[in-house]
Amino acid sequence: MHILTKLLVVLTAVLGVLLSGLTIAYTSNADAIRAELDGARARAANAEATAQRSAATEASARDALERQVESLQASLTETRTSMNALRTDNNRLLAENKRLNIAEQAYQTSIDDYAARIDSMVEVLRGFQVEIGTLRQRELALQRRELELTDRLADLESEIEAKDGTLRALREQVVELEQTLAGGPAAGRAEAVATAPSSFRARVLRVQRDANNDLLVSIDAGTNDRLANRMRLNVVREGRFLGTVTLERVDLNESVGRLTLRVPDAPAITSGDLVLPASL
Amino acid sequence: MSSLGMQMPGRQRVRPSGVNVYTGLMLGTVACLIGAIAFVLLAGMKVGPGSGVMSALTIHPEGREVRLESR
Repeated sequence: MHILTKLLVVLTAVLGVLLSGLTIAYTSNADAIRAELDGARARAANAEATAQRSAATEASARDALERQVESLQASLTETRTSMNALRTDNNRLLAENKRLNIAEQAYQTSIDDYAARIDSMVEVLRGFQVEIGTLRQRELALQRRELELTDRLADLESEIEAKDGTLRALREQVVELEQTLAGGPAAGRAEAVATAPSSFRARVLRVQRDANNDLLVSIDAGTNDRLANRMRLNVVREGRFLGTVTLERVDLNESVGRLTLRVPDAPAITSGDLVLPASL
Repeated sequence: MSSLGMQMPGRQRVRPSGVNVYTGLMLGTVACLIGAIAFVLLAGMKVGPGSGVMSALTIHPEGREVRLESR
């Protein structure tokens, strides 16, 4: 074998060993790099998914923020509109305030004027008050005088009524005596002597005749008014004596009496005539 | 005995060896190996840790992050 061939064989063996080492190292590193590449791809995928989720979240948040911004802008617009309206109202109120201030000054002037007038009226009223006091004193004196005169008039009227009663009784006696002398219907009924209370007053209800053609007078009073049978009552009209009635039937609130004495020229007794006790 | 360099009488004449076809084949093999080593060395330098020619013969440590030098 030639020396060159031997040398080439040795060189081939050395190169083969070197190539095997390089190949082993290269293969191991390639596997590691491949594993690292797979891991990196997985991490990249995770990161991309996370980024997508973040992007989606961010997009939703962005949408929410955009909606919020839109609502805030709408609110801002509304607020500006309201603010413009308020400014307009403020200007109007300021103008009205100025007008009211002017009116207040005018009213204040009027109030001062009225106060001065009131002061003068107070002075006048004080004068009126003094005058009214004087007039009241005079009025009281006049009222006292009027009372005195009224009492005096009442006394005189009472005296007149007493005189009238006396006069009426005298007239009755005269008429009764005349009828007694003439033999009239009252001659046999002289026994009726009962008298009604002095404060008794009644009215004639109706007048009718009985079988003897005597007048029977019904009045609106009875035993409740302390009336009794055989009681004598006078019938008058407008202060004029018309006749005397002797009660024959007395009920609670109604009585019937016979006309026992009648003034010859007096008008006829009718319903509504006043009935008084015979003593008056 | 001939392997010990001894020459025995009557032996066959040793003819000197020359370059033959095997020498050519070995020469081609060496050339191919040299080219392959060059390509693998360049590729190993790209994927190996660190820098330099020895990075082609170095293996990345197990369980650690693979770090490649920027070239």
